Amino acid sequence: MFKEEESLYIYVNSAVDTQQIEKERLLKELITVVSEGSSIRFDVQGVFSSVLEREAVSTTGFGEGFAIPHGKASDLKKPLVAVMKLQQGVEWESMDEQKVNTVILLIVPKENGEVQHLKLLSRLSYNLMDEEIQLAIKQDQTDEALQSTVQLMLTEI
Amino acid sequence: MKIVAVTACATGVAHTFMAKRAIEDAAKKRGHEVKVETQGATGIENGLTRKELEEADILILATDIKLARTERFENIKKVTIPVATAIKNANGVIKKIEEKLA
Repeated sequence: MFKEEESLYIYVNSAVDTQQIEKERLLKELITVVSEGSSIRFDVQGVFSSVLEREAVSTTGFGEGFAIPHGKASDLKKPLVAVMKLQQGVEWESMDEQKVNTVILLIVPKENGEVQHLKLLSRLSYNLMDEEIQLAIKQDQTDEALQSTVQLMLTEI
Repeated sequence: MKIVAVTACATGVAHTFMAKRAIEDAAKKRGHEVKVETQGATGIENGLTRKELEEADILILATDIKLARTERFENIKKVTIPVATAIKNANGVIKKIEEKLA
């Protein structure tokens, strides 16, 4: 389910159909899923390289089964937040060593996107520490339910 | 108690804010007043004022890097912990502080 808001795009998928269990391949597939499932165009390969570059610095594993990989796209007008629930857990070198079941992918515009990017990532990290939000995401079975939980996750600090 | 804290991590974003939330939640759950300053990639946010620092019972520095404006923290009772400790076990940290200050 794709939605355009004033300041960002939101894509949610409560059951991504992917069989990949290796992080890099999965990321490539997820970025493609987002690109196909949204009505906007961005350079999939460019985003993939940028996301991998960030993963190489340190893991984006959040703990509790979540990961927040992030990257930049040169042809994007506003940030895109994509929340996808996976069929099976993926190894992500998280602090708590749990496998990842939910990927929160953040793609921001390359041009002038730095501050936006940092603010959005701060907000997501802060709100995702809320156990109720974590539980809600785990329980959400439909895109509609997931979409409303994502709204809570985007609340300003 | 009045608890103040500063969080700062190496990459400057996610862990800084995860630690902020963890400390806020643990402190509130245990019945304390709390304010957490972040020193992240976007600079100092929710900065601690002189008054807040004076009135605080304890200052928690959850950091993996060198903090900015540390002259503010000179005459305050403080505890320094790694960011990961704040994220994983803020409750335990605050419990320990309660025992020490009791």
